[in-house]
Amino acid sequence: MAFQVGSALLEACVLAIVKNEDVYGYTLTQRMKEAFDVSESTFYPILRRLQKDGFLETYDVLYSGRLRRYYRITKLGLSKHEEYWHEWCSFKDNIDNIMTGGHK
Amino acid sequence: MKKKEFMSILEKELNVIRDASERENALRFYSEYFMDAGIGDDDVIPDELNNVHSIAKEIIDGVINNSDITNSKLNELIIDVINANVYIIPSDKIEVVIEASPNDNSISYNITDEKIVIEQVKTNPIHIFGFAKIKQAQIKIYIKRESFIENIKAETVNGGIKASELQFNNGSFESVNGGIFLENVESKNLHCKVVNGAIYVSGNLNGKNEFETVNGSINCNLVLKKENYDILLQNIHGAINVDSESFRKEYSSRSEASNTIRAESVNGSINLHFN
Repeated sequence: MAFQVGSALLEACVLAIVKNEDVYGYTLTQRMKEAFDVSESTFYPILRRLQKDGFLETYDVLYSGRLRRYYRITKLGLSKHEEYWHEWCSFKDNIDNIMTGGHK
Repeated sequence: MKKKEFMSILEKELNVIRDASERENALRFYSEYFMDAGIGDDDVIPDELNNVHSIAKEIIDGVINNSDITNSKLNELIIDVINANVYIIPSDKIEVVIEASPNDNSISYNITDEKIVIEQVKTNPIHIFGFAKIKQAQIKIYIKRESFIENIKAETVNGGIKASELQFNNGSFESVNGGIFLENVESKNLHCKVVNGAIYVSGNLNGKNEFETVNGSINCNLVLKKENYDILLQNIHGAINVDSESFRKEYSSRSEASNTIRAESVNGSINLHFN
């Protein structure tokens, strides 16, 4: 991909995915791969940071004889997602404006 | 790369993280990921995971920059190596960096909240045209600035030891072939012993201090006044200077002083400078 992606955008997308449904590491990674290039990393550092900041929490589910760790969004995470969503909308509109040669 | 190789490298590299639960959480994420992706121990992992070193580094940076650990007291720092230069460097994070020749797996380390241990097992030298060839490793230990260490013990055979801004209670530094350079230390009891090499110490020394070398000079640049020390300096060849004043070879200033310095060199001068 030609565009560099910063960590805020990755965080926003992780929050959006987890807001929809609780996920475990593998499914989250697969969803993120639909939009982003994962050339040399995975999403663990992002998940960890979101958890540390109180936006995500984890719980374990017994699955075929082992535990699987799920991530779910917290109240704080929901308002963070809201904030990211508004930021993204205005950013996207501004870029679209420039790209299409339009004026505000 | 196979899954088991990835996991073993990751586990080894994440050892610099002092918080065990942080290490376990990260390792668990990847091991669950592989299970859910249906990748077994001997299966080859996807290309994007091949760069395990940068994955480990990213995890470590994340933990170090956003960590709950505020503990800046370390009980023990033990370095017991054979062919290595040892550097102890003040930093804003704790990290161990080992630069060794390729395939040299002789050095191992273990870091916990309380203790750092770095060891090297003896390896047989490679013989090239009849000469034993041993490549020195470089071991850099980054210690959180202003942390206080209860006991430090650093030993190397072929290589020097260099440290700055260390604060500790008991310190023992030994090298056979190589110097010892300690800059701006603040310590209680300090013991330095070298066979071939010089000793340099600057800072604030309290308690019982001993410096010994056979071939090499001893230089101390101290913060405390010389009246606060009981000083015993001995050498066979070489000059003794205490603050440019000439003293007898054996000098004891005040027997009631609670701080002592004993410096001995066979072939080398001894210089003590007080600020």
